[in-house]
Amino acid sequence: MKKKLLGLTLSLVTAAVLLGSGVLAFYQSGWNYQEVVMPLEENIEEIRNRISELKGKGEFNLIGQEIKAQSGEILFNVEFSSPLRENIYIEDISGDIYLGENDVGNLHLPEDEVVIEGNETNSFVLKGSLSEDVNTSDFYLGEMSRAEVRNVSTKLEVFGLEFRVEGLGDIR
Amino acid sequence: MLILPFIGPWWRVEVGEALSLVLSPFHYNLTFLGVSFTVPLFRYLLPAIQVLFVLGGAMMIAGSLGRGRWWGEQTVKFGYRKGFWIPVLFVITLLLGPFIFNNFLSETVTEGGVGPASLNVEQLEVPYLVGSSVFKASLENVTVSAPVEMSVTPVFFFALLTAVLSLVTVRYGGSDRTSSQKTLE
Repeated sequence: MKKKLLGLTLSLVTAAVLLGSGVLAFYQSGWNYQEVVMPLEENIEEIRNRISELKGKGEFNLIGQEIKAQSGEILFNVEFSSPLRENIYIEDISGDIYLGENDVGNLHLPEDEVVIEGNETNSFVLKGSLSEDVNTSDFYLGEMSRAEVRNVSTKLEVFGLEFRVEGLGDIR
Repeated sequence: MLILPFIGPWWRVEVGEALSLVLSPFHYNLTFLGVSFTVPLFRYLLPAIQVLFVLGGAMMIAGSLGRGRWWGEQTVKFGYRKGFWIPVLFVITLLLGPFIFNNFLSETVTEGGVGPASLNVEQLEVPYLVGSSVFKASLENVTVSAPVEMSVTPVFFFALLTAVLSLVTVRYGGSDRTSSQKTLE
């Protein structure tokens, strides 16, 4: 009898501690079911802010270019402003080089990786290869200062996540 | 059992550096995009489980020392229920969660899209307890992929050892004289 009573008491202790903690949580949250099982409102608000930061697009700006006529290369000096607090690791950028409405070549990121520190602007070089007819034409080479980069795609890493973004827009 | 609740998490999952969850029956830390989450229920429930576990440990020691006394068997059983079942239920939960997701929810998520923005989940197989996989999703012109890593910590093995020892103790340590004699007879 004593054994059974002890067993029952110990089981009740378990139930009381578990139920008591639940009741206390509900009591502290004003008996609001959602507040008890959902993360705190301030956490959710902070996440909303982080996500809106992520939605804010960084901007590529063309700040200069250099043409190497002999090798048929065009170098674009580009800067990128980060909208994020975290570092952005740009692993690849590709795009088409346009002169007016003519597709005259394509470009890529010559470095393995470019690091843009959080909320900073960093400049780097993109290397373009011109198609052969442009490469040999003095007219085109003379006009190259008006070149634009279109259909930009990029591969970058943020938060350990790899993003591939197609049709990012133009670099002018 | 007396120290297990205080020596750290048992298991962790990481999705790139964007999401991290470290977990034990007594502790959790969920971080998403650098923001740490607090769930009010866990703030009270997990310390309660901690108290019960430590109490269970104390009862098991007391019951083992008082073997043969009328209260020995019941106190050892009280400790056993915590020391054995909490680690076992933890493992079952971590196996059952991926099983349910991979077998019943996976298709809904990958085919139906997630959230109002229609995030298209292309690949997501959740590993069982430990392992790695790749999460891949797309949204308009953006494709995102991330490694999913699940691992157990050394404390997990300590918890398994606790469960085994609890089982051994209840089998051999807590019976009173009468039931031992009955068994022998």
